[in-house]
Amino acid sequence: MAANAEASERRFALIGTPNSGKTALFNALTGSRQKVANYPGVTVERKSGVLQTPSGRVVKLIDLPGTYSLRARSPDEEITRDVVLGRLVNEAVPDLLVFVADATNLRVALRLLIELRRLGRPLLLVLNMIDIARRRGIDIDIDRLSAELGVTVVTAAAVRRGGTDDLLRRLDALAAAAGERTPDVAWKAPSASELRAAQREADRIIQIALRPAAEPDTLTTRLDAVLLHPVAGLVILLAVLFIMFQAVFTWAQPAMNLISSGFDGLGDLVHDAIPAGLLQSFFQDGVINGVGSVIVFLPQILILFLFILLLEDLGYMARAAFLMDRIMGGAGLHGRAFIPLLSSFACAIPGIMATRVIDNPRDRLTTIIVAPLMTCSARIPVYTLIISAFIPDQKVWGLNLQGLVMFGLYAAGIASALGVSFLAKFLFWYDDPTPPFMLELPDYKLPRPQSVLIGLYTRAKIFLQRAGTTIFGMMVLIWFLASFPRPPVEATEPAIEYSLAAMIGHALVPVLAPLGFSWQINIALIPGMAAREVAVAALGTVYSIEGGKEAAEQIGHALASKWSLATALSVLVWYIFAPQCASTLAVIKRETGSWRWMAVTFSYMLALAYLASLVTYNIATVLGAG
Amino acid sequence: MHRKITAHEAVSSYNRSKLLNTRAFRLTPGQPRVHIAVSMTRHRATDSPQYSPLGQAHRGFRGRIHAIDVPAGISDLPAAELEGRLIELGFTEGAYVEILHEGVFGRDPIAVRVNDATVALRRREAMAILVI
Repeated sequence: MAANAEASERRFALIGTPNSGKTALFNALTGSRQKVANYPGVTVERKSGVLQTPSGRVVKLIDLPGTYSLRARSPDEEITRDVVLGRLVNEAVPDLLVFVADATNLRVALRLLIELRRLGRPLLLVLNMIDIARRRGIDIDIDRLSAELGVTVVTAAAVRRGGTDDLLRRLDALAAAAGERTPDVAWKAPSASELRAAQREADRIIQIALRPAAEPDTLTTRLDAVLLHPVAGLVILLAVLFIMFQAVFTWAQPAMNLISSGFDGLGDLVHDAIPAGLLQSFFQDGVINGVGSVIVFLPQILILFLFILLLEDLGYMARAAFLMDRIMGGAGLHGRAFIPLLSSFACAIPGIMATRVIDNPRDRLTTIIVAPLMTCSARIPVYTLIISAFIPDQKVWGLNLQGLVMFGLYAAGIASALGVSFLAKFLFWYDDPTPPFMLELPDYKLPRPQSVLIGLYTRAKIFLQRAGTTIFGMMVLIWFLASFPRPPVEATEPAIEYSLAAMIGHALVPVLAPLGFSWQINIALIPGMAAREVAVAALGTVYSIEGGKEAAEQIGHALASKWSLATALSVLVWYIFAPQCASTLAVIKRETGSWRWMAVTFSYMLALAYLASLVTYNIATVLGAG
Repeated sequence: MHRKITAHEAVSSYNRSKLLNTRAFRLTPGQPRVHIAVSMTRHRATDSPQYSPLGQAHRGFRGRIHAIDVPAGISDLPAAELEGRLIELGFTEGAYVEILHEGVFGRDPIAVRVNDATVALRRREAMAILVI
């Protein structure tokens, strides 16, 4: 029975050039009935959804990464090629290729369609955004186009209500027809002259079946005159980024406080419900506080992705890449790396997730390994604590000294990220060609709320799933280190001092003493692996201060009496570089699909942190701050 | 058709290349730029001097594509690969092109109208597009 159902299940694949509105169509057809996972072995997103035709037939729809060619130059495009050609193991060749083309920009799309036509697989051409094309005065003779191409053509407006009715009826009929599933093995990459011939053929068909608009999209032209202006464009980009940055910090705050107090309340509940002891500690400190400390970033991640999705749908992201290309290029980064790196100021996790907008794997990898160097918001509690305890609140040249130090820490993070990516270019990719920057600038379009919401929902789901698995695992491990073995009954010191974490802390003294770190600091570094700001609470525990997080001021007083200024500076510098956050490392592992790059990131950051702290401590000591 | 070039042409070609991001023309650090400018000119299969690379055109340039001809060393991509990618983005013989925008540093990259689409690319890769 099951095998029968499997065989009769129809699988349609959406294919098309980038910016053809493929994802909007996919969202319109499947709604929230979507599944996002990765293709096995690669970090290419595999989006599939279920579509119900008017007659009630169920079709599995696969959204393939956009491509200009089956020649496949990136992992994304390889997936598209392999699915279309039926080369993936465990994945049957689709019954129908639904080719999505932007009706306002058919030239390149038709060339790709002509290439696909040669595969001899069932094809359907969807002229998407037909409403925009008609409004602009583009007149397409559908019958003529269909006859010349030898492919069924149907129009659609994915973002309009009822805009996919025609398409659904057509898909219904096609789903009813029996499909043949023969993988194509004879396919060969087209040569330049074959590509030229295909484009000539496409141009010929466009000549006879299409009356073009009198002029290009005037709105896009007018907007670009300002948004791509060499000076005004950069100013506007900076303003957009400033608003985004502000939003991530200020809008998210109420929601973050709510989540934080929610988890605290849950913790208290558990505290009261479970008798004091190991089990209570496991649930309260390990599970609830641990996972809570990561989930608290969900509002920031959602706001950040809201901006990214809006800018992407609007068509602005490609412009941002255009404006930043030369500036980023100087450091060996791609123009598109800008947004992910900026996102990393909030948290490296969404930043690393946002590197998916970079299509070149090499550029994406560089961006991923430098993203954790950007000063994330979890460093702020640590920075604030130490700065307020050690840096005098006075003016230097009319500027607040504490603010200057904070700025310096941010600047050091940015400078080191640029420096490392520059070095990475020489170390890892010295013999690799620099990928060219070639990018279509799509016409501006108003984002569709439903599409943006589906995108946000998907991101939130991915993040929470990860918090529930990998991050949860890390938290439990760290809790274990900080809780075992249990303190003896007659213990006078805080429990953490009897734990494995303390043993590691003491064992690290010979290694970390040259940085001016005491064994108490070493201990705090271990729970700080969970999330950097946890180190603040851990320092509180180690120095036996009641009240944990809330008592930041008291911790500050305690630190000021126990640490020298040189030690404080050394800890600050350590936090610029140290690979202190286990969840970031877990995300790097997931996004690069390899332990190797996680290890590379961990090691280079550790080495940088050690060297920088060593230098800072010794210089500070020589200058009399020891 | 390869033709010998005169010293005068080499110098004027060099002067034209100064308009652009000169770094893009340096194959290896320290190699004098003028040599590359000469070798690029010599490589060109142009019959008539009126065809010029799109990579050297200014903002506001309008014209048609005469040929895609990838000179040695302009891009890190192999010549055939760059040619394929340019064609895939719509840069084919006869297409209408117009330079709409340029970046602030070294006037790079450029945003080019290709018939009905707009494509952003760097000037070094646009050197392979001969326009009239």
